[in-house]
Amino acid sequence: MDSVFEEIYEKYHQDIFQFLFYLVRDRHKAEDLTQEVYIRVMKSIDRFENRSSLKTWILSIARNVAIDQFRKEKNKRNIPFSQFDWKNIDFADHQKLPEEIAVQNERIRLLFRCLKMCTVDQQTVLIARFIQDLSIAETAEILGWTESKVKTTQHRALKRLKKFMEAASEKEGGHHE
Amino acid sequence: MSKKQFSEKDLQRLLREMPLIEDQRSKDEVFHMVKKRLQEEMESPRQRRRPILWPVIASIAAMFLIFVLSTSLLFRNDDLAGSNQAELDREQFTMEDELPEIVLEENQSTTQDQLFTNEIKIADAALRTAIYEEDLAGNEFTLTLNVPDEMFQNAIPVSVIVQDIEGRTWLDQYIDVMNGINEEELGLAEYYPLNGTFTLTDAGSVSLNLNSNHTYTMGTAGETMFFKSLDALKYQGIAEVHLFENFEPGIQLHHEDEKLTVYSIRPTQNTGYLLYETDRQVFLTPSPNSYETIGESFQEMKTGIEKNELAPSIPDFVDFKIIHENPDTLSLSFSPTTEFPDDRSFVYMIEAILLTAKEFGFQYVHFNNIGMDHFQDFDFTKPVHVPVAPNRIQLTLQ
Repeated sequence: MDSVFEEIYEKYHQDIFQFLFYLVRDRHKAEDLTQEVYIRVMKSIDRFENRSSLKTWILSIARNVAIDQFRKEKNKRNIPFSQFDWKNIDFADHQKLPEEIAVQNERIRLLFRCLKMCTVDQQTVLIARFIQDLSIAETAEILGWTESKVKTTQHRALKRLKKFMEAASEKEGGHHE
Repeated sequence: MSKKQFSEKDLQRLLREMPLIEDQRSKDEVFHMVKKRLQEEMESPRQRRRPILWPVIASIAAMFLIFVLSTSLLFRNDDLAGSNQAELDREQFTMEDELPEIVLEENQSTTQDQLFTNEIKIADAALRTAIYEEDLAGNEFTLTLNVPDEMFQNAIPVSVIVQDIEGRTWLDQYIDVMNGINEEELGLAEYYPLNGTFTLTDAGSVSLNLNSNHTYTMGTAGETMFFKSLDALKYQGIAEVHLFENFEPGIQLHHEDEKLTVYSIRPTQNTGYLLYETDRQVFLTPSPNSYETIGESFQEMKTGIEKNELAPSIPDFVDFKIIHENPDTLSLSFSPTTEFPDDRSFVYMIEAILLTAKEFGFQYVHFNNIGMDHFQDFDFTKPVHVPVAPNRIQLTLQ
């Protein structure tokens, strides 16, 4: 077995997979894209030269792989914020959720849905910071941004998430009452 | 569940509670798949160099369009479906008159926001979106950045007016704009500042030293967008960017063997301008395709590019033809019976034509038989000067 593959698998495989899973929201796609990450890493590992940390370098490749994937999927564009139909916001459970999320409690399921309402950059920051538990500096390395840009984006992402979470809980409250 | 309030801390805690998701495949299984794909790639000849591929596609597209043009579809006189299309286009182009309440709420910045962000308001008093010579006072000039849309499909030029400041170069101010721009407010992707340092070398060129942790050359989308971001320097009269990576000359590209040390920027890129709509506004956006003739670009501007989510900037029912081209001035003649769209779409159309003319090297466009002498600030009785820069935004640097 290739030694580069082996090292990356042992150290970072589950990080890569989880990062991609939350970005593309589908186990099978995450599996495919994880393979693509290995291919790109193995082809360009000689250019790594201890840039940042190996982990953030690999995750930045994973992010690029996900962006390339989004571009391939035409209708993947985010719902424009101003055109969002707040009155008829549909958070009902019939929307297909990955199995791993569907079995979670109501708040986690809701959060997973609302995460999608954030921009791709905002989602990346939230996933890196809170799901992958990476520092601001590490997140900045993945995105190739300054740390202040990560902080700004994190703040805006949480603000947006809050709006959608509250709108959704109000809507669902209305259903039950 | 009744209506709940979530603090940022609640959300952070909740995000940390998201389940750990593991790949259930074994190491051998993953390795087998990766190996298989690597072998497949080695066996099938790959298009390694996009610069070779693109001219081929462009030539095929150009030949196709020449054929289409020769069958006089572009400047046809009959316009059977005109009025129905007019209705459709009116609906399509007048959606930004009102923004829902939520956007207004969003604009009420919190204290924390004010710490981080700069106030950007869309210049909406007039319908014109670009910056024209007459908009600039003697000590003012424009700075333009190409900002990616969220899917990294289009590079959207946005421009600000700044004043000469003694002791500060245009590049100092350009860097201020890169640091200050709030792309999300515009509905675009977070991109600036670039992860590197610009310096002025001599007239007509700058150098850019990318930090060692930059990620611009790790994927096709990122690499294309990086070069498109440099293309915006053409508005500042820059023709070359000398590239460094961690102070070493040259940057290693994704699919190239040799390092690229100098990136050349074409002053005109022979592209048409179409409409890209974000949740906040419509931007006049260059097509990803370059054409030999401006007529071909006009044709594309009538059809739009669905793949890139670029809507037509010239309604299909508008009937005009090119009557004269000299090095400075493009003369168009509109059919006496042609219809025009509503005011806003009309201005988008005029500006798209002007910006496209600029991309083909023209200084002026003469709009003949357009049925009016003046509209907004356009004086159609004489050739109209092309804009200085597209898509004006207002940016208050703190």
